[in-house]
Amino acid sequence: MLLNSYTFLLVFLPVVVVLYWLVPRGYPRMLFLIAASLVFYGLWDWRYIPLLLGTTLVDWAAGHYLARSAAEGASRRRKLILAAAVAINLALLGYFKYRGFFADSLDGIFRLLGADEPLSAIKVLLPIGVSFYTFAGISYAVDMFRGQYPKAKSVIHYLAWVTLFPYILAGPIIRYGHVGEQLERSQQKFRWALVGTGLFFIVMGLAKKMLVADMMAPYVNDLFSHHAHLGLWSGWAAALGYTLQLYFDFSGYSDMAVGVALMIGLRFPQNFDSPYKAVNPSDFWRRWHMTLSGWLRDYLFIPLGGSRGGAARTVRNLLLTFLLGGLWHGPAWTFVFWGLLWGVYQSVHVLAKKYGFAPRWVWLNRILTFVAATVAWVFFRASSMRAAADVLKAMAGFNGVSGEGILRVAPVLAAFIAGGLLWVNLLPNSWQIQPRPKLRYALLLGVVFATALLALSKPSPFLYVQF
Amino acid sequence: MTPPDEPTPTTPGTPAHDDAGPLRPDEPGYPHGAYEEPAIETATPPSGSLKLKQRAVPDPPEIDQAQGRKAFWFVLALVVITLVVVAGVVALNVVADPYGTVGTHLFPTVTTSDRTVKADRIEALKQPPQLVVLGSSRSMRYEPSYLEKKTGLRTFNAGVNGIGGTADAWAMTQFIHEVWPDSHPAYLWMVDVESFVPFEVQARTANEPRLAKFVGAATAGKGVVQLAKAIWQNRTTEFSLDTAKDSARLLIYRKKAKNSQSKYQKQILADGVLKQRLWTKKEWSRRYPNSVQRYSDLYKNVYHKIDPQSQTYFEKTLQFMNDQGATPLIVLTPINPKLAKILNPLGRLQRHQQVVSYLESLQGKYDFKFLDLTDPSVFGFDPKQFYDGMHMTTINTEKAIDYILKKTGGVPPVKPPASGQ
Repeated sequence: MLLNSYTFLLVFLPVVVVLYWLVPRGYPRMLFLIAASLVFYGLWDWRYIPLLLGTTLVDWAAGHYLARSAAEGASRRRKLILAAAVAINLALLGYFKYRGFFADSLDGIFRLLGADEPLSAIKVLLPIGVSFYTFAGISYAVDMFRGQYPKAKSVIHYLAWVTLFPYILAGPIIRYGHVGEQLERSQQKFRWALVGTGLFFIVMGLAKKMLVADMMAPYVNDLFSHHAHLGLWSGWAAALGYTLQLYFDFSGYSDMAVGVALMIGLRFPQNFDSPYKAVNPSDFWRRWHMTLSGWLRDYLFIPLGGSRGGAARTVRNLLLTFLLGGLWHGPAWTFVFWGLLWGVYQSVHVLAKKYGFAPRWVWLNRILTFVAATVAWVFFRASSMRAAADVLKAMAGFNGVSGEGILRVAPVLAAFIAGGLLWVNLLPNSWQIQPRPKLRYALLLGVVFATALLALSKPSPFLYVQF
Repeated sequence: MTPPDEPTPTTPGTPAHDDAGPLRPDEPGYPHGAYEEPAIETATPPSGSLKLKQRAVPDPPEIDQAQGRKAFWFVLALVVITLVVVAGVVALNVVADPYGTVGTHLFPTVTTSDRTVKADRIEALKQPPQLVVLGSSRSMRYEPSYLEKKTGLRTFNAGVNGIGGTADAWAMTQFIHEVWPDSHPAYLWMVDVESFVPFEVQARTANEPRLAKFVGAATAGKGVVQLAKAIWQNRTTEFSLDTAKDSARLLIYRKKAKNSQSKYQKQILADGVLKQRLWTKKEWSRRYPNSVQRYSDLYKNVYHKIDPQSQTYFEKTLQFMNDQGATPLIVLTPINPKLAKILNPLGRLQRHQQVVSYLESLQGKYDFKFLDLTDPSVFGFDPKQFYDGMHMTTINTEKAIDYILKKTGGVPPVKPPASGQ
């Protein structure tokens, strides 16, 4: 089930919210939440529920042991348990997400070495949300090892967190330390303010997705599918269009997840903070997919040594972190290169700052960061490295101003790009708007909500669901 | 990702809490999940594991909980306004009915398909047809004038586009019978091997209310219950902004819409046949690869057995024809041998055999004559007179007609039932 579907918005969500508040607090409410989340997940593909539950129980057991044995410090046994938990999660991720990719890559290497027989094709259906719940499991085990948070009150609370329907499909990546304590709290009461705020976020998110991102999508898809025929304008339109489409799509999803969670009394962390206002690559990643970047920082960059040990070690750690961050997004060389490119951006920024080369003018910094992000998104979106190269070639003017004259930038797309650029640069984001219970806001949001609902006639999954 | 030498971000919009005392966990602004960042500038912690230093995770901005009553009215107003706007748009779509899906018939539709034009042509006939040609797009160039010359029967070509289409044949026969209830035409039914693909009512048929009612795809607006049923059946169309755009266009330009001429209105002549067009190499090189792709996909991915629901419509139509005293000529349509060679290994050969066996099995049950023209060499076709893998020019269809009439001994005469059903 999609968050942006009639079934979810008009049936599932209202029913679950009403029943959630009617069910007695404590374990009955948690059990209800788990059941609702499993129904939500199962309606997507019920065959992967046992996998989800199995991984969850393994992570719970590992975390439980690590929390109970905290007095042992970093003992060998604790390290082994942690390593096993992390390995199981990574193995799961590797099997379902990367098996085909590595087989294809090996096949390519064998071909280069002269082998004739290709490896047998491997096609495994990707369990939806696997990237998110395996990261959740890893973060819990590591946090318990570190003694970062108290352990989950029970396996029920742990399960309620992992399967939580507002985020199971596409994030944000939420750690037990953030939501677990809210789930365990028993004094939470129903408040209309929560429903009102939740609706505010849901409407904002749905409008971003249905009325902006999805309106741009057909034009952007068309341009990227004709990558070899793009000119200067159409190349930039493709790149800028996708830059904005992805932001409105994913931040729209994140807003909806926050809104849905608020309706059941849970407060999710912020995932986007006007990323295109960033003044350098490091700032960008403090604002874009903040829960993922925080995860990579705490569970990868810092354990690798972070910025201790001088510029060379920092650069190495940044490159490695972003390379793996790129690969997390999907089994393709375009994602690997995209991650690597961000690692290079970050490294250049670290070195420029260290040696005093960083520009001082804020608007120049913002423009440079935005252009760098736009170039990187070309790799993220392109179907192949060759397609990405074609788009970048067009953007650099190698194909002339209008390409082969086949593709023109539709005025609608140009208008969306201009409007979108003004929006992301000048307007406050959803978290910077204080919702107020006034009739004029209700009127405005009601009209926007209705318009977005009427745009739902075709199924349109959020872009990050595929990751 | 934040390199640790960067300042910790602050998030604007976090509600200020000016209370002197500490926040309760259920209050907005309480630092949920506050955790510690590693003391990376110092030595490794003594336990051997990293411990992160304090980092507050801000909550989303919320409506002030003290305004609970106002929040209730806010939610209520938002929901009511949403429902009013949605209901307004649906009402607009139902009244304008731009695609003819709910059958309010207050305005002309904006989608004029071949079904609409054929229905118009049937209504415009001065006399009922004595011979009706049925089938898919492959039948649309069997010329009524040529058939009339050969058989002496006033002919109408009721073939319509689309793979599958046993339901279309049913709808067409029913519509002709509705317009000319006392007529008892003979039938030449050009059936494709692909007529029995997994069944669906073609959208073009569902969007033409005069035909849709025969295949249960739309119900004309007779009464509130039927209207509600029709809206529900077409909910993705009615609850849609795209439809609303067409509804608005229709209301603003209703005169233009009435006079608008679709390509079919120009191409389909008064007797239902497609206007003649010469074969060109350019068209062949454009269309043939498309037909290879389309039918290869069909046989590879979709058409693995003949569909029971398609069979039901087929037999229902045969029964109706027999009840009307007609013995239809059922002809399996020709396929370009070049395309057949590609499709045969993909399963076309088996499907062809299944369809032939099926038709032969019906011989005792229904009254019809059957001829298999799949291989066009039997009627001495001209290989150059195929537009693509399936569609023939009139040079080939005339040869096919000659062969059909010769092999079957002509169109069997109709014996109208005595009761005049």
